[in-house]
Amino acid sequence: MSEREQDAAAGRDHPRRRPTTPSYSWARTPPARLVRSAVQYGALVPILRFVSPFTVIGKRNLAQLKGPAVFVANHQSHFDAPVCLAALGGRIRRRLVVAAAADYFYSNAVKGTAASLALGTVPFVRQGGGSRDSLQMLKDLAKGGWSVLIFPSGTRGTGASGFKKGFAYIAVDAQIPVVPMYLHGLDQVMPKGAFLPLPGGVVIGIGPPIPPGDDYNELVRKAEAGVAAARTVVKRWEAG
Amino acid sequence: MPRNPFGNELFLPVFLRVILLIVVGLLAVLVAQRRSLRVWRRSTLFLRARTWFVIGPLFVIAVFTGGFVAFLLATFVVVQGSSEFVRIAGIDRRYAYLLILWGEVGLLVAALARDFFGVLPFGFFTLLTLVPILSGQVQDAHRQVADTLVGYVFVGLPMAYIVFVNSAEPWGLNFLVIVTVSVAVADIAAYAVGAAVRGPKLVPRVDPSKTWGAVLGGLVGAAVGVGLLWVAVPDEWSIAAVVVLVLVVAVGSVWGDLTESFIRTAFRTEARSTLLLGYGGVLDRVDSLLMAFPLCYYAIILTGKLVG
Repeated sequence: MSEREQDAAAGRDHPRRRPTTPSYSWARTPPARLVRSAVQYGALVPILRFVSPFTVIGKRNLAQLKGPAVFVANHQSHFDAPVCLAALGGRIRRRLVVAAAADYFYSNAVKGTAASLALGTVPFVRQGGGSRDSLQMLKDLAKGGWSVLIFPSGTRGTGASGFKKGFAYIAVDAQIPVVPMYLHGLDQVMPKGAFLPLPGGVVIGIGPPIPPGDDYNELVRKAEAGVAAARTVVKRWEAG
Repeated sequence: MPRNPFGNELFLPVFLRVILLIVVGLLAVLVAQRRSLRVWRRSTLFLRARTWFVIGPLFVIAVFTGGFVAFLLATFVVVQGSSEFVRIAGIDRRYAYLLILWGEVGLLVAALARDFFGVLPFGFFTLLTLVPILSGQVQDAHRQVADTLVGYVFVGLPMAYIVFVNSAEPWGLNFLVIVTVSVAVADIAAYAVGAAVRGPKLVPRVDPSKTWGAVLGGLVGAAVGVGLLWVAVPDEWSIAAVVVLVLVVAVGSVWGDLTESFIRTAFRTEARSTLLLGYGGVLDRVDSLLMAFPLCYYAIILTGKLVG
């Protein structure tokens, strides 16, 4: 076993290792942000309102945010990130990055460029040593005043549990709050495996911000509870 | 091409009457509920009134503006209504996309190529049969084709009718406004009177909440709706035609409600959308209109032939 392999097995960073995933930092420059704003206001949000008209419950919780935050939500479909962006509104959207699976959204340059430009995504390596680089990049962005939207279950079709710790590392290390969100209805609009969306209404519940504290595990538990609470509010609202 | 709605002398009278109707409806809810503001804001009637404040003026503006504005509104109803039907019936996605697509084709044909309107149902059936033929998946295909056709006849085709009548008849716009507003008033009156008077149940096995009181309320509402929009009634319509119209609006709106109920019961689904506050989905809102509109159109034509 080589030294690099031994380090990787022991979970240590190799001192000479370079990040394997590009950061797409150009997508956060003022001209790119301007283009993104135009795309989102001019096309993305109106199309979403047509295809998946959404209702946001608990938007007043966002008023408590004075700086960046980590937004965590259950993951149902590829429509989740655009709907979250639309639901969060322009004020938060302007300085927000979305953690997107590098193996899917950045599998080729065109897809990655389009996602970064239109949605403000950054590549997130889900497995192996690259995930540490991805987390570090998100932490740096958070410390630089960017909010982060992340789906902590890591894959689609999961509920409000089984969250991975990555988001907690970002929130605790950057000392920014976590905002739990629950997305309802998107599994019917575009379930896993579907190529085209089937239009339908969506409800998004936003919970109150959770202070980061200093315990990663505790924050994961609180975030799961927060998303579950937002789900209860959405279900109650839906039942009338 | 879109028109300036103010260029039509009917626009302002109709717009103001619709606003008046919604305000009166909201006041009625306020008086009837007499609850604390917090409870009242969550009540179904309040949510419905709030929804009307958005869709009422929007509808009138879109219809009088015409062109792509009206087309967008019709597209929205076809797309969302068809999607809701797909969820209720559990239709496969391949058939679902065709249902939505053909709904849009129907709107275009009704607006631009009216001579081909009669081809729409058979054309859709032919298109649907291609799915099992090309995919080779024949298991359950007969049910999928049949259910998708029901969806089209229930949602897409009536919407195409609305566009067809609007563009084909000299009084099409007046008819559309009168029938739509009357059906809406009939629906609300049926709900309110049904809740207040109750009475024996109409068809409990289909819809246990629908009573004869609701039917009576619907009839009164239809009359109020047509009366309110008397200004839009064309001169060439006889009194008999208007009386028939009121009756058919009342019957058609109940019929449409019951049709949606039996479809839900038949598919044993409670799947509902959350698109319109207080109503659930688009289908809940337009089910009465989808049935009443073609019925009213033929009632007017037939009465004209019999009386005139």
